[in-house]
Amino acid sequence: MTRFNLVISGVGGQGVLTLSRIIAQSAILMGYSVRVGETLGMSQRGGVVQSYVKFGSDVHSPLIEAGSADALISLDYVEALRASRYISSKTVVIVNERTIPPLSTVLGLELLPSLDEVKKFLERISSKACFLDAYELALKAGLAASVNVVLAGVFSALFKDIVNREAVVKSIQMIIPRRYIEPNLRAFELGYNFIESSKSSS
Amino acid sequence: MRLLGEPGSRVLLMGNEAIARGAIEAGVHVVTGYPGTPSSEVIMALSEVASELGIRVDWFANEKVAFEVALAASSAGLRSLVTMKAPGVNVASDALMSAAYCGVNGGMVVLIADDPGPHTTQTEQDSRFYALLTNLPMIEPSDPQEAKDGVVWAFDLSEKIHLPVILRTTTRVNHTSGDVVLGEVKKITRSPRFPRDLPRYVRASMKWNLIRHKWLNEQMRIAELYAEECPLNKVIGEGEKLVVTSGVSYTYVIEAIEEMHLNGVKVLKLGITNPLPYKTLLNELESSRKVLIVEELEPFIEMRLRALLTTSKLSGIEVHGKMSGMPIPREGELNIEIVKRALAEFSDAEYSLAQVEKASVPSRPPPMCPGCPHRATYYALKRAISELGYKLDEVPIFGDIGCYALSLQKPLEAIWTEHCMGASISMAMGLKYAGYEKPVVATIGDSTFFHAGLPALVDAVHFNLNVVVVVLDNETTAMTGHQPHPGVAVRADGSSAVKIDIAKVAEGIGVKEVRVVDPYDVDAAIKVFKEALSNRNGVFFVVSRRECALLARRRGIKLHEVKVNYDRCIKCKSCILSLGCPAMAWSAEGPVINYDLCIGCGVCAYACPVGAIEVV
Repeated sequence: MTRFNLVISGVGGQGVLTLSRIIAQSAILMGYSVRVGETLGMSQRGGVVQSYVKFGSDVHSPLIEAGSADALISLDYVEALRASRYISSKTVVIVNERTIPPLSTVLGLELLPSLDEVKKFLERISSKACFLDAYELALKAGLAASVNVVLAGVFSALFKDIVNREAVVKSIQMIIPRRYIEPNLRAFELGYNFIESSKSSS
Repeated sequence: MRLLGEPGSRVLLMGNEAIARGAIEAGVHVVTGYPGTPSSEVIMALSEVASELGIRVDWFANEKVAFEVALAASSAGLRSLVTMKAPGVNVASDALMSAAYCGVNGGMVVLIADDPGPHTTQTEQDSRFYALLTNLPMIEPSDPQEAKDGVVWAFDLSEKIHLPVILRTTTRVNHTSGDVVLGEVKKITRSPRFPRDLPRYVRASMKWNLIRHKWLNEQMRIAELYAEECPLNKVIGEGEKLVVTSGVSYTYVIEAIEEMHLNGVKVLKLGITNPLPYKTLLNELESSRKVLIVEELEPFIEMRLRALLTTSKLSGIEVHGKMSGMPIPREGELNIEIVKRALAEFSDAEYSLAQVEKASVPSRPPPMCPGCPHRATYYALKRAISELGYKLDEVPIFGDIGCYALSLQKPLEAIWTEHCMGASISMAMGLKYAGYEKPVVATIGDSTFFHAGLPALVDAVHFNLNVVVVVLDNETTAMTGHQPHPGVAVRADGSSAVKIDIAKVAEGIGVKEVRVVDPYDVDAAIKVFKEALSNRNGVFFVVSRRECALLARRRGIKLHEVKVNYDRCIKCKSCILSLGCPAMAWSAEGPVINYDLCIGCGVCAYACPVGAIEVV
């Protein structure tokens, strides 16, 4: 594979950077060369966070062109909409159905898009849109902060030929602090099985 | 630990971690800096392994101090690295100029991290001009691997020519992660010894200064030879069309050429941009018919390439770049789309950009964190201004560099300025000095106070000006990732240091009115601010002290249980409209608290006019 372009988006504090590190480490374990482009600084401040993870046999720059994402993972459905400039008809989108409403919408200065609107829009412009309540699965795993790893599970199940589950599990063990590994591995399984079980039932 | 991985292993490193690893491989002894995005992670990474490796790593009060500490170490024969963001080199520039005259004995690398975009910096300063101003060598890596390898080479170059070497990066190099193959770690054992060499270290003799200036120029002529051997220079492809580029721009050029399937285009990537590798450059120009320069910000390479061509024997080469109107903006950062457009124009090629559908999305500027003590401070300050009968637009609140600049947004709309480090106190003083009669307030963070606020405070006291100075003391350098500073009792590696009490500093300088308040005690804070705004007795100094809420949340702190009593709530929305805390959303019943985010500061209870928010 020459180059796989993944965009991860969310709000500072949701775990975008940890997720991008897990996928990037998995890609290294798969033998690919990797670039992760991100801007830090607002990452814990509740601002917009976008991370670009590129991997393959031939990667150079840290940025991704408009319309060139192979996949988008969004930890917040409003942020999936903001990242839509990277989406084309070849993009698979994986979206958490929750949002931390932007302050401007809480103050009543701007309108909050509904989940339904976002779903319809992304279903129309992407090749496949996978929406799920990752927060609920994270709670089920026993760690509210594991939403990002639930989505890593979904990604790995959808792209197992590119980044297989062994690689992701190993990189979770490498990156997540020891005392949180167990619930994160459960979160990964719940995300992974969300896809696998829907496949077997359909 | 990835930073200490085995030589030959391939690990995921952020550019700044790669710089840290490069310094380790080069056997660095002393690492100094002042926090600043996007440079901070170098020291943050090194401080975790410093004691194990026997490296001295610390944050200093400002970049000038940090630079001079590193300079002394390198004068004494050790290897040193000093790190700063672009505005930091302005602070250190006095020392940098003189350092070029005295030079170094042990290798010295000066990391200057620019921020085209800009992502987190007050200006898009192109610090490459410092290399020309000081006449010091400068290298520019393109990716994490080059960042690591470049640091190792820069230390060797520095020792060969006895000059500090500038390592100039941009955010997209510092904050890009990639796979990096690690190299051997050198262990260099040296003891510091400062040579008593007066012409070299004393700038009081004009004769010596002239001698050292000549020496510097001679060293840079020697550096020209080494520039040809810089491993970060690369020539790729074949053809009569030449693209000259450097830094992260190179990575966009390579991907754009590949995707556009351009033929007959050769790329010369400059890893060292002062001195330029003239021989390599002329060599490639000689076999080219036309040349395009792709670089971010100013036409730094372009100007010098054009100058080089006018003094060379070469003729008939077309030069394209920003100066000739190519569509490569001088503002913002480059990306693959921009480079594709320029390459298409340069090589008469076709290119297509993807059509994407635009969606309208509500804006999400970074807010102050849930429970941020600065929110409480500004809320109390504004209430005090209003309660004294002043209009909010007649009492200027000067801001400074730090998280509290976020207070400019709705709903707080507090600060009026954010200029540069320390400017809050000097500008507030300046307005009083100019004769402004209403109260003026300077608000400055604790780390910024030590960095550049102190000299201004000294003058405000000296001239007995009625300025209200509020130090927003959250006991850390929060904006850049919670580094310690002289006002806290720890060092970069977590070991203990001597804590300097900001209130005592003010008392020592001679401030007559000094108060320490807890901003979460809003009534007490309002009372102190009213006293401060009414003061006519010189500087009134308030330390508004409370732990950074982000750190409190990470430690799992819940100060109080905050509950909304919906029977009492009159749905006036005052809580949200006056504070804008992200832990609060609005529903048909009234405010809803997000307990995943709330740290229980209880400040929202003060904003409720009917006592519907209960703090237990």
